[in-house]
Amino acid sequence: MQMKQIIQYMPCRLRQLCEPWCHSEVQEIRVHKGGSFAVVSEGNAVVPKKNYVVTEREFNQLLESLCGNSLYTYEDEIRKGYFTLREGHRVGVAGHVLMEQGHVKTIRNITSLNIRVSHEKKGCGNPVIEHLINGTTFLSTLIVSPPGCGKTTLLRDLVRILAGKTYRNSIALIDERSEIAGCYRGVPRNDVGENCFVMDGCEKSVGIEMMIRSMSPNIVAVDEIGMKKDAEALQKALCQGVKILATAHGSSYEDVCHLPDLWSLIGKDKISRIVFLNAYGGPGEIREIVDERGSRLV
Amino acid sequence: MLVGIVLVVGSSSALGLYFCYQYKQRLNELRELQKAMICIQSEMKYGRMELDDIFEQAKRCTKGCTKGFFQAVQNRRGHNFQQEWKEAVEREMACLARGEKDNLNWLGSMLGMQDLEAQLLQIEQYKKRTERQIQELENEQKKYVKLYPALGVCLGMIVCLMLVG
Repeated sequence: MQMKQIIQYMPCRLRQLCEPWCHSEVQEIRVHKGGSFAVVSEGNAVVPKKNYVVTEREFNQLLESLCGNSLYTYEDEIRKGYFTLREGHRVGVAGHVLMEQGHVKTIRNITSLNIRVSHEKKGCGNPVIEHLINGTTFLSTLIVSPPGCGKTTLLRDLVRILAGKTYRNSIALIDERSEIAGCYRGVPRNDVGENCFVMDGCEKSVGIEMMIRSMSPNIVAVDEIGMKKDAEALQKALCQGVKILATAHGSSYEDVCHLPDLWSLIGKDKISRIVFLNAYGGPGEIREIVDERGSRLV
Repeated sequence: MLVGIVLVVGSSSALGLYFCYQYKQRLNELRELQKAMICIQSEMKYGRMELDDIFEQAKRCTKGCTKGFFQAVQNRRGHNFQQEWKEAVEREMACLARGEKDNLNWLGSMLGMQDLEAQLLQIEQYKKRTERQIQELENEQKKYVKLYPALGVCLGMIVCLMLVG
């Protein structure tokens, strides 16, 4: 399904190469201008046709199509190295970076694309959810794994479950990269539960404060925290009695303990559960769940 | 014989009126395009909307061939935007002169793959060129709008005289 959504953007020859993966679970598609074309499925990068070279024309057509012939719309996102498709898939870009006063002004002459396929795996949060609830109260949780292991997929499903009919939590989802809810014109395309308020395309730190002020949620959900200002905003949320559900890069409890600013601002005891995902399993596969003291629960 | 004379003079006059109407139509379409450009510029600048959504707005604020043109570009099916823009210009904006079509094709070749600042500058450039074309056309129209119908009538009468003679 997801692959079909991406294939529609591709020029004819690339589309033909991708067709065998139409019904497979693809994680990434890597395209290099004047270079190779590879599909990453189940952790392995496969080249669909040996010695196949993506022509400049094909590459440009793909890029034009991905950004709806409107590159200017994605200017701000491209500055950060990616843009998000309306279906929630993220396109990483690499090329020549133009700097201005120490900041990235833009990326010109884009030469490589990495399309990261977003997966909505309904039910992948079911085995986890019972460990994140105490009675009827949700415990603040951090989902940790290296890139590409399904943090966002699990986060999305947990949000769906928590904001759904069973738990009925009021969740504020700050979807900075439009990856979680996959909003198009403000309407979520992925199922994020009926009691979820989505702030789409908004910087996490700004969004958290806005949502707490305006929507009074009992849970704030954010993806990929790591910066000081994110931690500060989460700390404010915790002080107001709001629980947090967030993801971060890392692979062990030690990694998480060394996340800059996170623990010093939030405090270890405020995050009651840390879910580690398996780097070698399928997307969203749980390796272990630990509590605030680092004791293993699962 | 009288019927024949009326038919010849009538059809040549209609031909003169048709040429006159073409001028008016070209002028109207160029003005509609100007109107559409203002809409495109503001949607790009303040709404940061994608081109297809902008064309939807442009379609709403225009009429005639220009409306049909934006409809055609919006409904394109292939992956080559520039090519389909060109085809839509030829198909939907047939009333425009070659230079006016070239100007519109130039804009099509620039749209989409540049940053906002460059896009806005290119639209501004297009608007200036179109403004010049409108002025030239208005001057020509003043000259020819009365000339063509009169010329049509005269031509019809000359043909009749030659036939009768």
